[in-house]
Amino acid sequence: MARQTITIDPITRIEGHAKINLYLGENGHVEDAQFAVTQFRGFEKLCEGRPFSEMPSLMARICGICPVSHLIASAKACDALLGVRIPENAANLRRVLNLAQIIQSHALSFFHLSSPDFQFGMDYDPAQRNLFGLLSANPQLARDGVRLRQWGQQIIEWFAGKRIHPSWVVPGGVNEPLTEERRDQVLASIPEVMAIAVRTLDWFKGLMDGFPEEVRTFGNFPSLFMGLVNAEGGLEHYDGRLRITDASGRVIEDGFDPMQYSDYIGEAVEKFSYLKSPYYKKLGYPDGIYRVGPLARLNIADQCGTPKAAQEWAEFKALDRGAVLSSFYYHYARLIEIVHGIEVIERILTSPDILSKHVRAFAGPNNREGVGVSEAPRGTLMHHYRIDEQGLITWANLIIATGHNNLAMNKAVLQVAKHFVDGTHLQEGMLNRVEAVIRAFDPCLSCSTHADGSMALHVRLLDPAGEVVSEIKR
Amino acid sequence: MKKVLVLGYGNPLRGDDGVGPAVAWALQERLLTAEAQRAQRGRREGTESGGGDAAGDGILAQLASEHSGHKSQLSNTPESINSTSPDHCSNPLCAVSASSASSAPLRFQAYSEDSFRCKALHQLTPELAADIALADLVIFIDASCDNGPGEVASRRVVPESSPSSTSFSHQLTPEVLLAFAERLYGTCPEAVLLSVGAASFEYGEGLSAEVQAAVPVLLDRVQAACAALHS
Repeated sequence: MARQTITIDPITRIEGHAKINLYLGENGHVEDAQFAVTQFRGFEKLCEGRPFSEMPSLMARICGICPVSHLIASAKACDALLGVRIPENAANLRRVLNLAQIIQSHALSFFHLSSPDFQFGMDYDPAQRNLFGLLSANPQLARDGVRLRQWGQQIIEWFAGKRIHPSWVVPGGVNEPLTEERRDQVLASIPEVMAIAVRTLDWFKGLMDGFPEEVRTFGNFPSLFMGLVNAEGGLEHYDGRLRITDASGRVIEDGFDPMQYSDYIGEAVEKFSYLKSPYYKKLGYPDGIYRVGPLARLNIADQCGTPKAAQEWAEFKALDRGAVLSSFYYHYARLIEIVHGIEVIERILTSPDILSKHVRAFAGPNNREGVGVSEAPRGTLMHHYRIDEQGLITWANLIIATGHNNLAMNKAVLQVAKHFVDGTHLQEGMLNRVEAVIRAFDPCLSCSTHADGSMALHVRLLDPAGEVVSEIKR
Repeated sequence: MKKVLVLGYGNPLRGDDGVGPAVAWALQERLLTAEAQRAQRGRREGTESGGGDAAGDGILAQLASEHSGHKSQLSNTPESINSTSPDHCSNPLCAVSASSASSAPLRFQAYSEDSFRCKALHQLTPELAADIALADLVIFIDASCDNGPGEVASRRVVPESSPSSTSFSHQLTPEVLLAFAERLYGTCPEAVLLSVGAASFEYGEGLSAEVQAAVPVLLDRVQAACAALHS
């Protein structure tokens, strides 16, 4: 039997548009796999010639799902162009906004995109294994998902003026201080959302043992991990220093300057995808594979820094002797980060200076080049700009969180496909696992297009002549 | 008073796809103007109430800060922030909403921020189910490929009875969102979808002439739907 191809296009329940190609060998077993991003955005080019002060609002338009993340990384790059140290209170307000974004994004990923797989199992009838089925089977979980997401979105709206593409974060800080009423409204709601976060975490921990094969095969391999840590080496999402650890948990790079990221991170381009493939330069391509995001952040941190999350983090770290390697645990890490985020928001909002009116530093551009790095829900986000003497952008480079994970996602897809997919006898549950491992990474492919909401899974097994041998639709 | 929720959704960077948010912004400006008029009337009458203060912290004030915040992105100097006005806004949609608000008759004086909520959205997302469950009428506003350019159509929306496995993502249809509200909260309001035929979904801000001309029509349809609800 000649080589055959299985294409999963589009992948469902992810943010954006991508497809998976599975290449079968003569015995019908998977030989190779590709996770391909099929959209081209071109933001790095279209911003050239624009004033740098426009960059936060322009870059926020990259995505309707995580605009806040781009806003913050972009504003930090602009802070570097201004050469200012923004007021501490402004940094804290941005930190709250970033955590609210992470919480609402994690809630969407866990509750709305992935929890049907956990509630029903990977092989369950896809007609039921979706959010609508979840409403009947576990309405409390579905309502909790809505509430957590609503809470994160509400903070963004209250702080930043609007949920999608907010403009409150500006170069030099933020453009309005926090009001006492808003602070008190958020604080009053914290017990409710913390209860949701804790009971969801307990629910997930209770069912993880039911997925031993997925834990073993869902992107479970040695790799590097990268992310920000704070001055104490603890979990950090807004600022701090970049750290890389290896699979044993050993720190191999610590505190490298974001401006020097190109000394450490290379970017390869594959013909089959618009998504670049970053790698750790010292190990080369593709051996310099690393992962970012919730799993990586919990792996690289020395501690969590907040009481409830610290307890959960200790349990999480006990899963493996070195780094926790299975990408199935991205879900687990996501829930711990929600708990941590709520705790940090409470801590910041109860700090005495949070209502300070000093929230912005003013300056003209003092540097011709600036880099901003922050942690987005899916991992480390880097914005790098160069400007001319008029402050107009001459060059921009973005390394997005999903990009960092590109090599790892490809490897994870291959691992799952080799384990589960039998090309001679395709079953929906096999292909759902291939999709599910991608969903574990929660890739965001910047879906700015306004699709009709009818994304479908269509898998075809084709012979070399292009004849359809087998086909699954849903 | 019965509660109305307007959800104008679409991508303002994709030409006419931004008509939903454009109408929502125009409605927000009308509400702000109505609110300010009420406040002015209240002050004339020597009362403190007057239906609320547009400079306060209510929903309308949020909308005001959203709009003004949007305008203050252009520079990092205090002078540029203080000098922002609709004329200086870089977003052509602001011009649409401002002109629509100033020329259209104001018939929103009766509505408070509790009885009329209006959101400009990139897309429909699951947490909107909680807002929908609190409303008596939901008006969705979207661009359409099915109508001729600028042509406005209206249809009643009912909850999806049997969504497919692929109905749920980060963006939902009005039907699925209504079903979501019904299943989760046991209540589902009346709902209508106002759609306007798009001339272009190409990259770029601003509406085509045909769709821009339809904005006042859509505003009138919203007002008519509200009036019918309260008649």
